[in-house]
Amino acid sequence: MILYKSFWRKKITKTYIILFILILFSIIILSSINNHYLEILNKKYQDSYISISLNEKDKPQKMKNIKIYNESLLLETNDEFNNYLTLTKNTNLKNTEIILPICYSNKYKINDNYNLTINNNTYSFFIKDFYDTDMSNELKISSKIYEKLSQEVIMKEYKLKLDNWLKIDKTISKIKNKLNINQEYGLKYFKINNEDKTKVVIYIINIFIYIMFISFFIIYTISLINIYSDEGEKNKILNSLGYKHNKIMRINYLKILSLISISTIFSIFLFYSIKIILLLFNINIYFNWLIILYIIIISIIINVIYNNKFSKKIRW
Amino acid sequence: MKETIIELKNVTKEFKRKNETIKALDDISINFEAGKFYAIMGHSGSGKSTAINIISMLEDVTSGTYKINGIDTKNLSSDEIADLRKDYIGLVFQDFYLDEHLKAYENVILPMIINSKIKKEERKERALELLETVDLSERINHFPKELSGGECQRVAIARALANNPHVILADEPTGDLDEENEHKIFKILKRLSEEGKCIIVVSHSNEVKKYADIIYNLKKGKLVEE
Repeated sequence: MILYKSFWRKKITKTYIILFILILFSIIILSSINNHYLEILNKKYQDSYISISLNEKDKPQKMKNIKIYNESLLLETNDEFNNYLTLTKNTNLKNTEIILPICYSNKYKINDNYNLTINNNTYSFFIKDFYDTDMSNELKISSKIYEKLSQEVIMKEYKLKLDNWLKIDKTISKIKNKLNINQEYGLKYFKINNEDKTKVVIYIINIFIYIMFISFFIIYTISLINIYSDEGEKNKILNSLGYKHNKIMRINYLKILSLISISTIFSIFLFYSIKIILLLFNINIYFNWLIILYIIIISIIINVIYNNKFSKKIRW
Repeated sequence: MKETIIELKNVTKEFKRKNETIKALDDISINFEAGKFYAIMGHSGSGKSTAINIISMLEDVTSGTYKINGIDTKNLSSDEIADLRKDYIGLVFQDFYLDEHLKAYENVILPMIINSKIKKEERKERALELLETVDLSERINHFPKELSGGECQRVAIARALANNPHVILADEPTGDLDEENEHKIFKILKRLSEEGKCIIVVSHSNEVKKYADIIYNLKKGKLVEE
């Protein structure tokens, strides 16, 4: 402990720790506010979705930020209501039962037959019900028939929701690049408001987070250089006392690590103090562990690199 | 006959500066024995600093043999050399080289941290005993900046004694001290030699002659006994 006592008694060490605590705390609090607004944004988009029409072979299921919440078969038709139809699986239906959009009730009644021609084959369905919807082309069929028709129908339509609606533009361009989207039915947005100001707020907070990140690593690098050169004289003392080279380098490495660890612990403590105060006003903010993990990992890597570099520089 | 601790045989140390080779030590052979007080004297540039660095194994010899307690250091790794330095040599410098952010007793503990023979719980007690032997028992909790030059040097001597080394090597230990403190330091070193330690003092001060058993003069890298 004595080896570290000397380091912690230095005024400059205390200055560094105050700076690190302030920056780390700012990063933590900003990222929490960011998360809070992201949550608000995603709530605003909870009824939104993107619809894409693809060849059967393509599936968007393994793409980042995307959740498939509906998959349907897409077919062209001569139906008086639509140019094309989508057939969706409904597990409550049996065999040839079908549920049609309410617009079909003008022509059909419950228990009537509804005929559908697919690839020159006519399929007869038994109308079980009608349902109220804005989508006039979405028909619901049983799983069994759905699986059977899947063999014959090439086109599929997917309704997609995003984990993070802030990344909608990036995700859509990824979809366009990776998937073979049908030119005719293409890609459509539903209930998406591009004028939302929450996005702007999130972008501004993100800019501040980046600035804080950069400030942290600039100050961290400067402190590393200063600490290692300040400790140079001390290294010579330790060497003359019989300390081995590796032991001295390990001591230096741990000094920096303790600086970062203590700053992190204090900034997390500060965050939770603020969180408790905000909870009294019914405002809940969440801690972003990932961002702190990034900072610690990058700091350790920089420390290891600089420690090795410094170790080679020293004449023993 | 007293036990030889350090043996230098035909030791030469050369430095290269631009295209020129400078011989700092030239074919030196000398044995340092336990219980004796050695003074190595010389003017600046005579090779005194090189001599102290060679004897303390902070630098390698260019040619010749260096043995400490019978161990030839020629093919030893830097870690093995560090171990030998820890076990056999206590160093005292003109500028003290104390850690200014550690109290007197904490500075004395510093070498004990790497000595497995001294238990953690015994370190402070031993440091206090050593500070008492250099008459600093009332200054144990003072930081170096709160101590006088003479007191700092006595802390440095206590630190050099921390691991009970066979040799105390002092480089101009009284260089920055007044006469009173100079006597105090040499008296302590003399007492230590009488207790069986091998004391080697490199100095340009004639005062050391009063205390030394053997005096060497270093001139242009050559060592001559007075």
